[in-house]
Amino acid sequence: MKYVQYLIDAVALGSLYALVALGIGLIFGVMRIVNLAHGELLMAGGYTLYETDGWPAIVRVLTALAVVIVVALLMERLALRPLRHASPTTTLVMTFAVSFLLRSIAQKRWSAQGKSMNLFTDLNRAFTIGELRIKYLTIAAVVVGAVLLGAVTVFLDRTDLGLQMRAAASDVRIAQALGVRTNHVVVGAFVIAGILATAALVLFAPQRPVVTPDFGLQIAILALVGVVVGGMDKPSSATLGGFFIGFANSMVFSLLPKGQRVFLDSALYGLVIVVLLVRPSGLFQRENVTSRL
Amino acid sequence: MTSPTTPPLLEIDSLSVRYGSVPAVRKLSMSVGAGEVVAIVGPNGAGKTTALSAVMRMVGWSGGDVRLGGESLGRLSPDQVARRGIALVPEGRQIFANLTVLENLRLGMIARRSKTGAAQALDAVYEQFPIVKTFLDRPAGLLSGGQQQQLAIARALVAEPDLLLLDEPSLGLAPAVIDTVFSALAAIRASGRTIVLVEQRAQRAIAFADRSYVLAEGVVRDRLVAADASDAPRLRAAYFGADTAAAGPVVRAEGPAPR
Repeated sequence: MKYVQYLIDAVALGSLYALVALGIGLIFGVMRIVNLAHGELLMAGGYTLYETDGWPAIVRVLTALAVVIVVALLMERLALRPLRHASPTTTLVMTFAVSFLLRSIAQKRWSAQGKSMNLFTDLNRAFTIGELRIKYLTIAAVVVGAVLLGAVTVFLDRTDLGLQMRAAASDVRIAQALGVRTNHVVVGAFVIAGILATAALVLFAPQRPVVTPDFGLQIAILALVGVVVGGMDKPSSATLGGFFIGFANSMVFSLLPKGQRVFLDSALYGLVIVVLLVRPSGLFQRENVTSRL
Repeated sequence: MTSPTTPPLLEIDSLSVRYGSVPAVRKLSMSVGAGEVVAIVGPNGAGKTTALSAVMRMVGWSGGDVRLGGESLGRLSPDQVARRGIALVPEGRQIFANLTVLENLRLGMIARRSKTGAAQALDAVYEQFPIVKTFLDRPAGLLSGGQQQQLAIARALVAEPDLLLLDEPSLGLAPAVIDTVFSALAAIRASGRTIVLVEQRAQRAIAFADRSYVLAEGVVRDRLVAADASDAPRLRAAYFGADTAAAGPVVRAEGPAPR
């Protein structure tokens, strides 16, 4: 029964990382940019929650969503669009710089000390089924995760903009020559990434209630590792990779003896190294497929 | 060559393109009238594909201008050129292999200028390329080379462009399949659409087109008409210059560029 409990916790954390990973994967798919500043979207939303404490929860969430989307669009417009034809190394350094800048601004404004987000703390309560203890947050994470992942899938598969995103992800030159407006597609990807980041933030907030300048970075770095482990080339494999890393993180944590939990990162990244050595193109990538979405 | 009242549909005016310091197209000038079929032939590296990419604004220009119906394309992005009514069938087909046949066609429809008539445009390409309709829900990458070429042409046609640019539509296809492609092109011509055709199969392209330009090293070396296709010495002279006209057998058009 203990292991079922571990499994449930792991699925919940996996869902959260899947949301973050899909955002990173979508932007990489469309723009071939690894956005190291993705975590700062969560950070920006986190401080918005702190600043709006006392407002009705739904208003706070919508305000955070608006702030995150605005930050995402500014990131795209001011930092990345001017580098549209630059090399991947240049854009990588740019996103690193943006991440650093945003964290520095946060530190200046709110100090390095944590600020409480105080959102949906009731979700930490649990109900029991037999020996199993299930937090309401776990249910929320799985449901919201599944709904949003499903919605993005439907969007990509069924809508014209989704089709254009997939086309741009596979060959942006040809897509453009067919009339696809690159800027629309890129803006669409950033808006979706912002929505996913906000959803993840809202679900992280009850269990990690303190936002610091590095709050988003810690989440995004692990999600990015998941994206690479899963396979960057497709949104679906990136998402599964994110799920995997969150799942593994929680599992390793639960399975380590209590006194050994300081070794969580060592054990987790050891696992990552093994996965990358065995399947360098990605855990959820079909072998020898290199030039597809 | 231009009547003072109506400009030609496409006018390339001393266009130059360089890749770094290497000139790919040098002061290229040509014009294409509405309803005309114009071929651009020449050896590998002559600048044919670059010229088409430059018209689409997929590569930048280092000089000159291209006008469509008198309007300069110089400030447009490729998607805007497509929406002005130029459709490209790119070299190597470049269909989206991971998308279905229907999704490829839907992408072709983005550049349509008229909001109405999309269903009729689809029906028209289904009629012209039955194979496309047969495999609508199949990933395009599973089609054979000839089928992919038909899809690439169909994808361009659903936009109902004024001008169709075809880059090497016979490349890598079996002879029987090439016949299929050329008969499709003949039907497109019969429908009155203006076509610019880049081909290494020079003889076939020259015979098909109303007029042809021979490109070499980025410049127009010669101009030909359809009747020249059966005149081997004339072709040889056009390809390699007058002084080599008597030298040896007709070199295969696919061969390397002369030194």
